[in-house]
Amino acid sequence: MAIHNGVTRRFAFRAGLVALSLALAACGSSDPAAEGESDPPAGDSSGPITITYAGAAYAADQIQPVLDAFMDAHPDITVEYESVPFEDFNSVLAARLSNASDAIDVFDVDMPRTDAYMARGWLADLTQTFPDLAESVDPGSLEAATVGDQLVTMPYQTSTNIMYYNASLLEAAGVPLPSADPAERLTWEEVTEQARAAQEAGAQYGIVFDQIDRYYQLEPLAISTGGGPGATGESNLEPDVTNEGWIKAFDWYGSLFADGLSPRGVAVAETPEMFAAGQTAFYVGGPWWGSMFVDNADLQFGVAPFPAFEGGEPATPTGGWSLGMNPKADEETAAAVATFMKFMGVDDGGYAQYLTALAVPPSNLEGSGKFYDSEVFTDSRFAGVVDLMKDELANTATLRLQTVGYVEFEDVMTKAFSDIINGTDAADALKTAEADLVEAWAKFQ
Amino acid sequence: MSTMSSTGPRARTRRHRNALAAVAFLAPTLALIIVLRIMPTATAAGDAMRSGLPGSLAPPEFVGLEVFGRLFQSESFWQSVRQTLVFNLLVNPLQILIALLLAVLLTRNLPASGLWRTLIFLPSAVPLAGSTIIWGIGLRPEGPVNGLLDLAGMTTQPCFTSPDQVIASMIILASWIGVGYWMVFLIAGLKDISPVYYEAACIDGAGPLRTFFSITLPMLRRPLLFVLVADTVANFVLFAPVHILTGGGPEKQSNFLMYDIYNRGYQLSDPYTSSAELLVLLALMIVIVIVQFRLLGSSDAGE
Repeated sequence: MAIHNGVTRRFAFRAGLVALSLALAACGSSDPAAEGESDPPAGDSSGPITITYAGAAYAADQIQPVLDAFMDAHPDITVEYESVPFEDFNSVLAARLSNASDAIDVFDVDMPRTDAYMARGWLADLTQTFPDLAESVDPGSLEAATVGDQLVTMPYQTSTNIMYYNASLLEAAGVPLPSADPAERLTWEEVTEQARAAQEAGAQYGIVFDQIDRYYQLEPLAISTGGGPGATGESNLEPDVTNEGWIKAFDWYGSLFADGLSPRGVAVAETPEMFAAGQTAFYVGGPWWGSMFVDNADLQFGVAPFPAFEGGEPATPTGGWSLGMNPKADEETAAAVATFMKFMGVDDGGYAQYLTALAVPPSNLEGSGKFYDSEVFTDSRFAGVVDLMKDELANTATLRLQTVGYVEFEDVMTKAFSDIINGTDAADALKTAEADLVEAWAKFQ
Repeated sequence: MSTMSSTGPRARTRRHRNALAAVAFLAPTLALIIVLRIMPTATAAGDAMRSGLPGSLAPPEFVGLEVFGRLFQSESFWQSVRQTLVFNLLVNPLQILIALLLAVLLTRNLPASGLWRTLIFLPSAVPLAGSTIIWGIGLRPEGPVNGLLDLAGMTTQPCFTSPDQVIASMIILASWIGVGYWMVFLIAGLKDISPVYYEAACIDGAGPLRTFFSITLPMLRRPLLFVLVADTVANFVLFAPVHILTGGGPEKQSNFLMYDIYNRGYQLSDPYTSSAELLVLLALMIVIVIVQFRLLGSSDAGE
């Protein structure tokens, strides 16, 4: 009953807002001051407005302090947040942007999907709205937010990866603890051997990848062997995942599971627990698990750089989230969304300052200072992590494949990686993937 | 004289009123059938003839049968069809056989048969997603089932993570839920058979096997037909376990049509190929259901 009432009330509220904004649009559409400014016009002068924000990066309770701060600063704009699970995000966007013109006004954009979303007509052009963005955000984020020479999203969060190790398990195996210095980066070959030693000395798992079957974390393996990002050609629409480098990288990755160093049948969401519970010698993952690991006072861990293959170049995952605007948003809504985007990505260092704990570096340069100052990194077990992350973001960070066919690419690659994990020969799985990619990308040719 | 009165004006009004009443009673159902069945199918048929870039907001262009042409050339589509048929050829007879055995067993005068029935039926009261997660954890390589196998000194099994075992694992999962559910319909059917027939068979000296094949099975044909058709339809559109546990893998062995339709339509934002594939699935199901009606329903007319 309560749910019913709530829904009805919200519906009535929405309907009222639509009527209101229509009336406002009729009165205020000829306002010339609203155009051509780097500082987008706030909804302030034009009365209250509600924008709907669909997000996959943060849970509703995590992002709420940011939204509250925004609504305090801009009392006329209400942001309604809808948290969508990452797995369902594409399908939700497809349904809500295609079918209902005003259902979602602003939404999270997974950076590698920017080209695809742009080609689908899901993104409004922001080039005029934020002409000076280069001054505020890191170059990688800006590159990820740009398609051709159009700025199409507001980047707000990027990422990097590190390797955690369980000091107790390594010591028990007589393995020297790795350094956090990027100059002393371990090779995957060394890590494999040490993981095996740790497992023989009692660790349940030798090495576990955080994003166990996702291209985000596995692309650097292929980069490091010289296999490239997975596609070549003018628009990155010629699949290239069966070269020597890819096969070498994924033969190795498959062997981790065949040899029992990594567990099969585990979902991405379950991996951090395995390290937090003290069962795993090496855990390759995001700094965002830091607070979870720090909370366990008995967990003796340390951090080291994301390894590279022997003789190969180091590469680390990067990229994160931007904000996109529904191109169908009316003028009033677009102005409110632009105000919100600026608040998230630009104003005083961006959204990061309102979060109590920062899991990943913000794209905003000023805001990233707050990330590096996070209390979690002052824990002695995290020694050296700040310099390490800065170094990786500056030198080894590798953006994911930028192609209009990224959605298909990720779908196909995730399945190939799952098969490799489950014991399919890497060369076979990648060959199937390449054939699937040719088929899936035919429509873009 | 009856012919006279049936064409009289009063009879005509009555017939007229009867027809009106029939229309009034049928209208809601007809409306629902049109809105929920015929219209979506027509939409799918329309979409299947169009093409556009995935997720694009630009209006799609009409391409006739081109989408079907592309679909029929796709190796992974045919693999999907094959796997769907293999799964259904195995799971449906198996489920119905077990459901029938249980139904027969539990209509005997067993002690606490109500309790057994409840226990066997219970899994179908659990939401499919819940059962899926339970079995996913249960059958995972380091899960409890393998723990028991290990304790018993047997080799552990990869189940859902092996291309050779994923269909069998799906069958176990689907049957755990389905068997109890279909059993209930068959029990109702068994209870409907008049005891007179059994008494007669008994007097004629028929043994239990003869009684089963000559009395029980023929008298059960109608509920069996219903169960067979409904079970087939349910298993053809089985989706949640694939979505939650395997994503169509390993090696596309569980990439059944229903999941592939979802994946193309929503994950890859390609409603056109998805609609074409949906029509193929629909056609396939219609053919199979017609065959089932022929097999089990044919002699109904002779009764």
